[in-house]
Amino acid sequence: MARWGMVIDLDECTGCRSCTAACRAENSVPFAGPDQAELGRAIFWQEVLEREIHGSYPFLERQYVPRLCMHCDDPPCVKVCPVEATYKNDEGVVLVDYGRCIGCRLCATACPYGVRYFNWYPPEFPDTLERAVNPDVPTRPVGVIEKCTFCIHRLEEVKARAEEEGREVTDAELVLLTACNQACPASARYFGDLEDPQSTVARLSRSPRAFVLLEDLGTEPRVFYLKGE
Amino acid sequence: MLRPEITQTQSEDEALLLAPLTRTSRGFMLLVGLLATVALVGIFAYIRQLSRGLGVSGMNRPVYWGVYIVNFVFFIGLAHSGTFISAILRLVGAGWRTPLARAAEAITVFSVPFGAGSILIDLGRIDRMFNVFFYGRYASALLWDVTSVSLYLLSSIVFFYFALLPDLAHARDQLTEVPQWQHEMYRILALGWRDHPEQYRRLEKVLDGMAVFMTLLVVTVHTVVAFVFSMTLQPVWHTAVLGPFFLVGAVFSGSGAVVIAMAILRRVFRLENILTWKHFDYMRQLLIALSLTWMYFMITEHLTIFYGREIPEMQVFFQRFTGAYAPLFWAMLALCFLVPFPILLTVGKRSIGWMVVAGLMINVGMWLERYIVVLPTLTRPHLLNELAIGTYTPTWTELSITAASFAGLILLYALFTRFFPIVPIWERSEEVEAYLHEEEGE
Amino acid sequence: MTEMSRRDFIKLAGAGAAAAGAAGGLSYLGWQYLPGHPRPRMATLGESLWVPTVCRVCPAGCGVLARVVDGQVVKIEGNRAHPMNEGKPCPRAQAATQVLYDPDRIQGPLRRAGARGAGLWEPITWEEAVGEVVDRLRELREQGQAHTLLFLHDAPPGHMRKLIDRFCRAYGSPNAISTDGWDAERMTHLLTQGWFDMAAHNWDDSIYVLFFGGAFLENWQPQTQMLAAYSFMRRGRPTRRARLIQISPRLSVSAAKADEWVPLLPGREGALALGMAHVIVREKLYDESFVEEHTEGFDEFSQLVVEEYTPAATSGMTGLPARTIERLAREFAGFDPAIAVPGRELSTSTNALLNRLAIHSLNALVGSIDVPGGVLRPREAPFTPWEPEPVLEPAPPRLDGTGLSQRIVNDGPYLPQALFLHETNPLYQGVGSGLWRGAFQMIPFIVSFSSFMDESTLHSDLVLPNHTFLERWVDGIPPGGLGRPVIGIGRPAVSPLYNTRHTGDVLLELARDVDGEMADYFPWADFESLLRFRMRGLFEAGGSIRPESDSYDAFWRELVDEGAWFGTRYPFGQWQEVLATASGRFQFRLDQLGDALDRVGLRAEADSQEKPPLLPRYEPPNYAGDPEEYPLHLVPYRVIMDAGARAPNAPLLWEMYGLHIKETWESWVELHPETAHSLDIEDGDYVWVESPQGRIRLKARLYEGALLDVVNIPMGGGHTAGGRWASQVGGGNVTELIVPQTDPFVGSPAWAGTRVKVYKE
Repeated sequence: MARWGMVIDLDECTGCRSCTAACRAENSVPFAGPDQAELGRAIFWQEVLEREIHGSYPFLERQYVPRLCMHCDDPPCVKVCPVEATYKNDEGVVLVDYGRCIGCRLCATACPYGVRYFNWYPPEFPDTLERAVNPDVPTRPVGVIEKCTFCIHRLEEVKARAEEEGREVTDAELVLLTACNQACPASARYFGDLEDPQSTVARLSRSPRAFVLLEDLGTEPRVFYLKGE
Repeated sequence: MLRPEITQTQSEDEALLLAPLTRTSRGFMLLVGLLATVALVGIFAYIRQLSRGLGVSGMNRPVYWGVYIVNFVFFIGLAHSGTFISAILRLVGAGWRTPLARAAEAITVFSVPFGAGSILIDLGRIDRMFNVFFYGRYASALLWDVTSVSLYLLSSIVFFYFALLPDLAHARDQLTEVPQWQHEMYRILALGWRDHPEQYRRLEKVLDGMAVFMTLLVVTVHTVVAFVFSMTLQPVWHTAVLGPFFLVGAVFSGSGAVVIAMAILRRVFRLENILTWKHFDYMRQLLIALSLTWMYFMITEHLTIFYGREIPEMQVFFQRFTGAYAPLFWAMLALCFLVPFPILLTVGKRSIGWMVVAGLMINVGMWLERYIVVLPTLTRPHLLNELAIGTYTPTWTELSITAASFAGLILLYALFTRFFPIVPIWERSEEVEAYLHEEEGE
Repeated sequence: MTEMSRRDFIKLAGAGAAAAGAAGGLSYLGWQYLPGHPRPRMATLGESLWVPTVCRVCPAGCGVLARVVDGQVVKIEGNRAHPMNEGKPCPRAQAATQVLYDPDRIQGPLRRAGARGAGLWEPITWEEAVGEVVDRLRELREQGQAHTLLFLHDAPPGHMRKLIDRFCRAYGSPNAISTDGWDAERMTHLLTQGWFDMAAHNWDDSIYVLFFGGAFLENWQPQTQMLAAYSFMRRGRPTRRARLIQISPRLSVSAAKADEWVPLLPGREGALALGMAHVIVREKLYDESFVEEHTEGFDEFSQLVVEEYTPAATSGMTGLPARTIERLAREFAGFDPAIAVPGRELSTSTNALLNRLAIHSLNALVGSIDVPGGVLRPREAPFTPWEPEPVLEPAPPRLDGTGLSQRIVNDGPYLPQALFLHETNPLYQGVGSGLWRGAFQMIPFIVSFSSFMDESTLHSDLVLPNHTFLERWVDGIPPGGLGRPVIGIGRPAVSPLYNTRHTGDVLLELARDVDGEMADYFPWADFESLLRFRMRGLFEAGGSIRPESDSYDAFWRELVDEGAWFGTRYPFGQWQEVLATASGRFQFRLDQLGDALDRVGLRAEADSQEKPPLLPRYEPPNYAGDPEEYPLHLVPYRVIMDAGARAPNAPLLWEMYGLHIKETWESWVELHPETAHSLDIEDGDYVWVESPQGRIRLKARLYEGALLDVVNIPMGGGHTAGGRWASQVGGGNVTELIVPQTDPFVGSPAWAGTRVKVYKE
């Protein structure tokens, strides 16, 4: 059984946020508008964290860390959902059942990475902007949680195609599968099967530069970072 | 209109207790009118929220919870004192509790629905609330909540009702000058109670048994409410002390509410000889004990955090002590302990008025305490992300719903006192005592 | 059955009313909760079509693929066939769907129906619109006023620009003027190497890069190439990790990701470069063979730097420790190849050209000209040559030079009688925008080709709206780029949504209709035919596409399907091409400055210089404003999400506008915390930023990456037009603060030469 994971090389990341923009476009994430964004309600399934500026003037540095759902192996969000509207599928992807979610937001408060977003209002695609909505990804109604899905719609498509052609999915098809990876101009992101020891992500996750965020919390995230220099 | 004089005789007491059931004073109508208005504003606010979405509140990312959850914890907490007095004190045989028991239990019965209601109001998809029953997962602390609060509500109502039965029968039999519908109500609700000694003995046994169950439940309920927070990994929430802390706080705020209720009832219904100094004094001692316990938990929690200096926890710590929540935090300390505690020790000994002041302060302070538990952690989670500003301002929607919840609680309580005796008549009756001891004596 | 009493009736009626009320109430508030409503959009029905095209959200022109489902574009992704961005888009590209489906787009030609700027428009037909423009142009030409046509554009990459240039020259006007501000870079290469173009780089082999100004990860052109190059330079070559230094007045993302940030006020880059040159010359660290064989004027140059630009002197000019200057110089000379790269964004000053000349001299000193990893000359694809336009004799002077808007307002050398606007918004983005307002008032006829009702279009007389790029034929030549020739090409991904027309087609029609003489130079029916004509040259040259059949049709089809064509290698060592000066060498000495300016039509202000300098000395930049009254330097900059006039109304970009400082939908002013506290300003307070030119109100943000005496303000805030979302963007327009000053040689605006003061509201 595959176990999907991602590796992001922080040395190569340029902090450009192409990943953030591409994810929004791919997953038909509605924009919040100035008032709602000011309240902090803008939805970015994938964001780039700016760590604190450190060092002393003028030798100042800052780390850029693209953050998406970690698809943890011991996910605190799945643990606390009262109706099992969020669950980890058998390939390790943590998903949300938009039809079942009751909007209690316990998962959102439980996630230590802050990757879960809530639809405070019915999402709007005003006027002609509606035409740009991606037909492969369901839009979400008001009052439910949403978050990164590891582009599972693309994953399913690739798997289906491989099955049709009677072969396995290749690592090459997977590395840039997610919209964020595909859009990264610095080619700093990799996706793939952690169970396959030869895959790019498996190899990179074994690198001495590899680390995860908030490791001590024991959530066992499946997104690895490679330390910058 | 009957205006019973203040006497010591039982039948006169009884008359006093039944008097409110027969008339509607103008003051009462005004009160009901006012409370109903406040409640209606809240209902309107909720309907608006339902049609537009939770965006009308001030909640955002990362502050996913706000005043609604605070209300939830507060109202459930408020209920605990009722159970404490009517169940736990019943088990230890503290006889002084008798006149207070129903007044206290009424707080429980009427505030738990608002607690549960606050959670429902907070749901993004209340139309799917039954999913909790269809797809409920017991690994989730929220489901423990649902279960225990439901059980608590149900058993409190049953307990309350059973304890009310003999008095309903009494009202049915004694009150002849009430409207037909009211008489019918008593008749139906009395379930054919016939005042037999055997019935009383059985009733006592049932109430004793339920008191055990309720005691276990009251410990579980608020601990489980705390688990919703402490089972997450968020800084300052994830602590073992939260469960006991919530429990103590609950009984604390509830007891303050009981004192307020007692004082009001005593004044309005002229119950000076039934709710005496002695009762206030016992409540005062209870409140002192609870204050100290509460402060003990407060100090332990914060000292531990401060000594350890873990970064995520210190962020929340400073939010409370010096940051955006400092004014509310210090106000809470003042209102929960620093001011009322000396009052309880000194002037509270002699003056019911001061007791009421202390009780009010404690309740406001405890609401603030729930706020302080919930909000600062949400504003400073582990990874304060890109557009997560970390502030929260409740909107008029949330505040009016809160006001409506309080108004609703008081309204239901007031309506109850209008139609039902607020002090148990049968439990104070010498006849009934005789029935019960008869068996023992034999 | 008992009779229904009145009471019963009332009860029943009451119950009925209550039920009706409940049903009504529930349906009002509950309809969206009923099962199945709203139905989420489910899986795709039609097939996806991936159409290669060239992104036009910024001037770089990256190759992208538009995903079209059921005739609608739902996603933009990179086109792997395009060698510049190799399948990667930048974040701005994702806004392309919001450009195409912008609900506030102009949907057809419009004529002004009230005063300028009133927003009253009368829809007209294309015949009427084109007819009116033709009439005006013909009139001007007949009166001998053809040179007064001013065609402002923002350097669209590719044949659109060439068409505009050709149109103007054939018409008789020298005034096809770009507002991109890169003429200083082009002029640098003309003076030192003999060709008027931007530099090309092949980053894959660069090992040490010194970025003088700008922000290479946020504001480079072409940006995606640089982002990819950054990654490659860091980890793409396991044993050779590049060292990147960012010299800039603020800690940008680029400076934070660079190995070192050298804080330097804008305009002082030349001093630093000359100080480094001093050390390199003095310690004989320069590439002797290159200097000997390929340069001219080295002796004068060395004498200049050795005598006048000692580390101590330069330290005084730049504010950097002498040690730092020496260290940078030794590092620069120590790595091979090391290049000095001037920035490509807003931080230019009154000494822009001289600074760039000094910086580029460093490249010659260490022999980084035309070597792998060095500075290359971009080679254009071998397009089919077209008949050269007539040369105007005598050549009328161009309108720009020392500030276009100033010249117009000050009435000289002549007033433009017609202004055409293409993808540029001078009323918003022009320096000293008050000046542009004045200029607009003096110009009698203004035509905008914009798809959006932005500030300048709002003040025009006629609007002939362009298709958005997803609806039209586009091509793109990356500015600077890789060195080897690259051309991106794209066909329309969807049919036009509205009654708009390709501006290229419109220009061709105008050219044909104005008069027969001009028409001779434009024998193509439409832009597509023009491209087809020009690409034939590529077919003959070979390159990345070699169709199996020998037919040009097959080549064309394959070209359009690929979306890009490129030459397979850069021809190193073609010194005649690379050093095309009169001497055939790299010129340290600026013999040709006066001639060069004339040749490209940029005229130096007659009275600003007695004679042009012969060497790239350092002229201290002028900072407008009395330092007593205006103690802080203003550094305007562009954030990566800023797409300017090409996507003014894309909510995606506005919502991601200032993510590095947690701002959205609003611009701000960055202050160092100490500076802010000395002014009693807290993070988030609203303040006035005032310069001698004007003042704007902004939110103050405390930022440790700002210098103590510098405030940084992004472009983009304070829009007053452009669409419903553009109007919601808060903040203020920084161009209103900028005192109009220009570089005296190339006339490029000095963006970073204004002083300001800041005070609380």
